[in-house]
Amino acid sequence: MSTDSEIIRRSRDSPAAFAELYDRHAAVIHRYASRRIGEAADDIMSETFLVAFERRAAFDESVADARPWLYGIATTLLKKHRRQEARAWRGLIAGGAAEQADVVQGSIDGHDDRLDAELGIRRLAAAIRRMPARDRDALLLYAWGDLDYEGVALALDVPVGTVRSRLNRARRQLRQASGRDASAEEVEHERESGRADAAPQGA
Amino acid sequence: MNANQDELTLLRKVRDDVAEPSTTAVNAGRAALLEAAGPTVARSAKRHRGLKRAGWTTLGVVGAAAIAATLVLTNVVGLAGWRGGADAAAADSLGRAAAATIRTSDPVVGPGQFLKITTTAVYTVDGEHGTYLQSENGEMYIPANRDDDWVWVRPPSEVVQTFGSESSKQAANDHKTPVATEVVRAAKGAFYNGRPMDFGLDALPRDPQQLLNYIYRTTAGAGVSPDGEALVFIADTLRTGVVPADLRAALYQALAGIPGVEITDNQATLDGRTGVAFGRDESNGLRQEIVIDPTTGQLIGEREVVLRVGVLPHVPAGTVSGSTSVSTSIVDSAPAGGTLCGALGHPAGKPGGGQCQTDN
Repeated sequence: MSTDSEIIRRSRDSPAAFAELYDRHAAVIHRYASRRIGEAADDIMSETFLVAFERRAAFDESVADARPWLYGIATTLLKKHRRQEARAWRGLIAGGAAEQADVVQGSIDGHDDRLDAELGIRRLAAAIRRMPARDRDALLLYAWGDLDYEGVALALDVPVGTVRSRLNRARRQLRQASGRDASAEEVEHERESGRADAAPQGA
Repeated sequence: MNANQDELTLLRKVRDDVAEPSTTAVNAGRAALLEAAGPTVARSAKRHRGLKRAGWTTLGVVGAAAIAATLVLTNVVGLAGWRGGADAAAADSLGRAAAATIRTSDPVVGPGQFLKITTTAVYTVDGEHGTYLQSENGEMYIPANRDDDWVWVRPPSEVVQTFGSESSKQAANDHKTPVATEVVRAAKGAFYNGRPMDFGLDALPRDPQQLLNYIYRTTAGAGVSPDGEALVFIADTLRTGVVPADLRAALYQALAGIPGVEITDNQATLDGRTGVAFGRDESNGLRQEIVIDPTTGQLIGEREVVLRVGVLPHVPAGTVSGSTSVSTSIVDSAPAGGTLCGALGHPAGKPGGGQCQTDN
C-alpha cells in the first residue's frame, strides 16, 4: 500500500489521485470535527481536503503519514466555528443526564460509577470550554485525534516542547476540574499512574 | 470522579459515539474534491468560480460544488412539509415577513464603501464554580469589492450578568487577565489564513421546502430534536447579517414549516429594537427564538431563553441565556490595521493554507 506522502507526490501529476487520500482519512477527520462542533463536521471534512489539495505542494514529503497535516488544517478551519463549539460543550455541561449516560454506557459498569463519570464529564466539559484555544486544540488533537506529541506538533506547526507545555497546562486544568490534586506536577503524575497512553516524547 | 478514571481516559469517552458521516456527505465531499482536481480547472478559473460562489457560511453549508452534486437527488424528498408546520399565527406572520423582505432590496455598497455588520452577542459560560453571561461582540467590514480586504474587529468579552456570589467569583477569575481587541484583516474574508468566509450561500435552495429539507438533512442527528436543530440552523445562518434578501425570505418561510414553532413574544426587544419572536420549546428547558420585524421583514436577531429553574445553575426561568442582535449599515471607511491571523498569531505555511501559529 502506498504511503500518504506517495499519494500526495503522485497527485502533483495526476490530481485525481488525491481522492485516495480522501477515501483513506475523510472519516477520521469527520469524526474529530463532529466531536468538536457537531453538525457542521460535513463542511470541515470537505473543506479540509479542498484546502489540503490546494496546498499539497507545501506538504513535507519526508513525513509518510498525512494525518497530522490534515488534522492541523481541520483544526484551523474549526476556529471559524467557535460559537458552535461552545454550544456543543454547553450541551455536555447542561444537557440531559441521559445523553451523558449514553456517552459512557457500555464502557463503565455499575450505577455509581456511571454517575461519577457523568459528573466528571460535566466538569471536564466546563474546564475545556474555558481553556485557551491553543491548549484546547493540543488537548483534543492528542485525546481525540489520537496523535502523539510529535503528531500534535506537526499538526499545529509548533515545537514538541510547546506541545508538551500546552498539554501539561490543559491536563492540569482537567485535573483541577475533576477534583484531583491540583498541585501535582505533570511529571509526577505520569510516573505515578504509569500511563499506558503517554506518548513517545522523542525529538 | 472514579479513581480508576483519569481525566484523559474519561475525555476519550466523551462523544465517542458520534455518527459516521452520511454517505451523502462523503460522496459530496469527494465530488467537490474531484471537481477541484479536475484537469480543466486552471488557477484563474478557480478564482472566478470562487467569486461566483460568493455568499456566507458559518454553519452547515457545504461547498457549492458539493451542494450541486446532491441537491437534485435529496432535497425534494425529506422531513419538510408532511408533518405540518408552525402554528397558524406564526406561519402567517412569517409569510408576511418573507413577502416584505422580497420587496425590500438589500443596501447597495458603493465603490470604496463598506457593508458594516455590527453584532452584539451574549452567551452563557458554565464555569467550574458558577455560571454567568459574557459578551461576544464584533464589527465586520465587508468591502464593495469582496476580493479586497475585509476587516473584523473583535473586542474582548466582558461579563454581562452574574447569578450569585459563586457566579461573580467565577466571572471575576475568568476575566482577571486583560485581553486586547482583536483585529483580523483578510482579502476576500479569508480570516485566520483559511478559506474565504463568503462561500456557499448562493447555492442554497430558494424554494422553502427544498431549503428546509436541506436543513433537516444537514443537521440530522444534532441538537435536542430535529425540529429544534433546524430552528438553530436558521438562527445561526441569519445572525451572520449578510444573508441576501431572497435567501432570508426563504429561511423565514422554511421556519414557518417547522412543527412546534409559534409566536413566543409579540414585543421582543433586543438591543433596543423590538420585533416578534418566533420560537420552539425544547425538552432540555431552553427555547431558541428568532426575532424579526414582521412589517419590514428585517432581522433583529436571535436569542435563547431558559424555560425552567434548574436548567442552568442558579439561573432563573425566563433569563435570556444567549442572544445576538445584528444590524447592518453602509460606511465610507474601515478601521486600519489588523492581521490575517489576529490573536491566533501569524500565518504558517503558505497563504490560504489554513494555518496560524503563535510563538509560544
